[in-house]
Amino acid sequence: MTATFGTQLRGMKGKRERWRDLSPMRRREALYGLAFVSPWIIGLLLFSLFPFVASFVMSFTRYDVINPPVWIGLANYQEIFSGDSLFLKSLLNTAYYVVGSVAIRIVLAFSLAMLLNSKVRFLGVWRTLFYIPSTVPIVAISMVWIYILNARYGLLNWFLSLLGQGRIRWLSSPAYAMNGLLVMSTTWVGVTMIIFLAGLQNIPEEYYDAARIDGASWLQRLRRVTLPLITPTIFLNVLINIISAFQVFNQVFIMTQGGPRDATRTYMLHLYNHAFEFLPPQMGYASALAWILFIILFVFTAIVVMTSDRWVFYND
Amino acid sequence: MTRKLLSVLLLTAMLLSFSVAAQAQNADCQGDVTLTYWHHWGGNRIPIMEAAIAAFEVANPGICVDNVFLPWDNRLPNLLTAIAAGEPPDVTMFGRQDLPFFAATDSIIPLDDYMAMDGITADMFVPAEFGGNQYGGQTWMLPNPTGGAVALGWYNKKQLADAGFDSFPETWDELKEVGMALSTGEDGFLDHVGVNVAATPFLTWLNANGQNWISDDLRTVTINNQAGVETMEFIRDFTNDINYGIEEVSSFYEMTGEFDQTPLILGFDSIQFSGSWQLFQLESHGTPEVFGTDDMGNLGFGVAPMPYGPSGNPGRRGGFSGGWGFMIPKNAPHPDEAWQLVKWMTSQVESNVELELDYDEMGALIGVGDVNGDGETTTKMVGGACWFLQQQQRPSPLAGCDGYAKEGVSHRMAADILGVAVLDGVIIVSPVQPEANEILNRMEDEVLFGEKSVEQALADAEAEIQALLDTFWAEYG
Repeated sequence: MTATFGTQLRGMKGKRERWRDLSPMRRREALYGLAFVSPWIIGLLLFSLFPFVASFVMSFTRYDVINPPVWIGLANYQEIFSGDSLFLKSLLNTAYYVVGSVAIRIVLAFSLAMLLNSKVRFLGVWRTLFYIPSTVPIVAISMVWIYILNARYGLLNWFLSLLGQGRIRWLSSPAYAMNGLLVMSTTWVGVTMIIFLAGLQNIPEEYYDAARIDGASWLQRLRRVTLPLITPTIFLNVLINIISAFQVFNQVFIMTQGGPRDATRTYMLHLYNHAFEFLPPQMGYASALAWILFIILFVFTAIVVMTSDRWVFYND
Repeated sequence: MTRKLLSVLLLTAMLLSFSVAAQAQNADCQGDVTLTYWHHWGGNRIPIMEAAIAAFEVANPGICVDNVFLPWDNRLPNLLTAIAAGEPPDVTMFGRQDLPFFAATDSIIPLDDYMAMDGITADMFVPAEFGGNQYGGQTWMLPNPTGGAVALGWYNKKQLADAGFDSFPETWDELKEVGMALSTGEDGFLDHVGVNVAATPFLTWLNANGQNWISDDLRTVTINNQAGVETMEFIRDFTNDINYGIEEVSSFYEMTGEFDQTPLILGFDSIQFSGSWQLFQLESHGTPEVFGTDDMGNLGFGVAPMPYGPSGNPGRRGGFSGGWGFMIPKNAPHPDEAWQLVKWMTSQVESNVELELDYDEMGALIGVGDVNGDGETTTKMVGGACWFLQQQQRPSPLAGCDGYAKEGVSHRMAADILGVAVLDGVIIVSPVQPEANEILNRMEDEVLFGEKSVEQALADAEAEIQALLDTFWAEYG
C-alpha cells in the first residue's frame, strides 16, 4: 500500500491500466483507497463545490432565504456597479489594507526570519514567541489590540509619546483607523516568518561560503545569494497574504464595525451585512459581491503567478 | 484479519462523516411533545432560564422543552435557515426590529386567536411594550423584559448636585446646560463627559422631539422636516460644541466597557440613556465614591424620562425601536403547545410550582437540583414571566407583576422605572429597519464629521431609505 491510488491505476511504470485488467487484489486495494478518501471527496463536493456553483447561480437572483429565489439576470451586478455607494468605498479600503498589510508582513517576517536564522541564543524561544500570537483566537487578539490602540492609555501611543508624538485617536479618527488595523496585522507575522525561516534554511551553506571567499559583504550576500534563492518563498508568502488580506473581516467586525465614518468598512464586512444583517436578507446580492471578489482575487493571483517567472528563481 | 480491520475502520469513518450532533434534552421530563425553544439569555441568566423552563414542564405535564441557548448576534442567520429548511423551533426569542419583515413574509403566526382564547389582553402590558409587538393590526409576539424603556435617563445625583443641578433636565436646552457644566477637559481632550447624546440613536431623539420617522402605513419616510433638522442640529451642536467633537468623544468612551465598566459606573459621565438592565449593574457595581449615598445608605443614582425637544412635549419622551419577546414561527411542529410556553414566559404571573434550587456562596442561582453536589438545596416557588425578570431585578412589562412585589425582590426604584416606561412611545419599526439604521448612522456621521449640512444629510438619508421601502413594497406589498 505504498503506491498512491493514481500510480496503481496507471501501473507502477506510469502506464495507464484499465479497471478490468487489474488483478482482484489490486481492485480491492483501489476500492479501499477510494472508500477511505470518500468522506473527504463527499465533503468537498457537498460543502465546497456545491456552494461554489450555487452562489454563482444565486448571484443572478433575488433571494431572501424564506421565499424561493427569483431570477433577475444581471440586476445585482448592475446595482453593485451603479447604485452601491459603499461598494467602491469598501473595495478601496480593502485594497489599502491589502497593500499595507502584505508589505508590512512580508518585510517584517523576512527580517525576523533573517534574525532567527542566525546563530542567536534561545532560538526556539524566540521562534515560539513570535509565532504564539498567530495561534490566539481573533476575538482575544482584537480585545488586546483595542487596549493597545487606546488613545489615552494604549501601549502604542505611549511608545510614540517617547518619540515626541502626540495622542493619536487610532480607532475613532477616520484618518488613522485603517492604519491602526495595519499595525494590528503584524500580529500574524509569525506564520509568514516560519515559512521564510524554512526557505532560508534550505539555502545551501556552500553558496555563502563561496561568496565569502570572493569577499562579498553581508549586504552583498543578502542581495546576490539570499534574496534570489528565497524568491519562491516570497512568492508563496505574497500569494497567501494577498488572499487572506482581501478577506479581512473578523477584527473589523469586532473592533470598529466599519467605522469611524466607513474608514474601516472592508469588502467582506459589506458583503456580510447584505447577507446576514439586513432585512430582507440579500443573499443574491451578497453572492454577486462574493463573485466579484473572487474574480478580483483570481486576477491578482494570476498576475502574481504570470509575472513570477521574471522574479522567482528555483534552485534546480 | 487485515480486511476485517479495514472494513471496521471504513465503516467507522463513514458513520463519523455522516453523523449529526444529538440535541440535549431534560432527561427527567416525560412527555408526548418536546418543544424546541431558542433563547439568547446567556451568562448568569442561563440557570434562571433553566429553572423557569423546568417549572413550565412541571406545570404542563406531557410537554417537554429542548432548551437551546444561541448567541444573539447570529439570531437572524439561524432563524432564517431553520425556517427555510422547514425545521423552525417551536418558540424563539425574537427582536422587535426583526418583526415587520417576518410578519410581512408570513413567516410567523399571529397570536391574537390564542390570546383571545386564554384571555390575554393588551391592557395587561405596559402600552409601549405591547404596541411594539404589533404589525398590520395583529399581535405577532409577546414581550418578556422591559425592552421598551431603553431611553431611561440614568444619572449620577452627586455629580449633578456638585454642578448645581437639583433635578434631572426636562428639556434639551436644560440638558445642554448640564452638559456644558459637566463636560470638561483641556487641550482638546475630555476629562469628563456630562452626557454623550451621540450614543443615543437619532430616531430616539426624533421621537422625543415629537416626530414619527415613518408614516403609520410604513410607506413614507418623514425625517426631512423641521423636527428632523432640530434633532440633528441638537446632536451635532451638543457633540461638537460641548463634547469636543465626535472623534474625541468616541475616543473618550474607548476607556469604558460593559457591566462593571460602564462610563456611568466608573464616574466618567453623569448621565446615560440606557435600559432597565442598568439598574442591576448600578446596584451591583456602583460605588459610594462615585455616587455618594443618601440617608438610607442607598447609592445616589436616579432615573428619569428623556428630555424632550423644542417640537416635543412632556407627555412624549423617549421611545424604543428595539425590545424583544417570544413568537411562534410558521410551520412550528407543535403550535398549540408552543403557545403554552409563550404564555408562560410572557404572561404568567402566579406559580404554584415548587422546585429545589441550588445557589452559590454569593447567593446566585446556579441551577435546578443539587448542582454543586453539597447535598444542600433551597425549595422555592418558581414561575415564568414575572419570576424570570424578578431574579434579574428587572421590572416586567406585565402589569400583574407589580414591579418587584413578588418573592421579596422589591426595589425602591421599580415604580420610577415603570413610570418612565409608561411615558415611552413606540418608535415604529419598518420592514427594512437594519439597513435603514445603517443609513441613519451614516447620516449622523456625515453631519458630525462636517461632510454634509444637516439639511443635505437628512434629504439624502430620507431618499435612500424611501428607495429601500419602495423596493420592499414593490416586492412584498
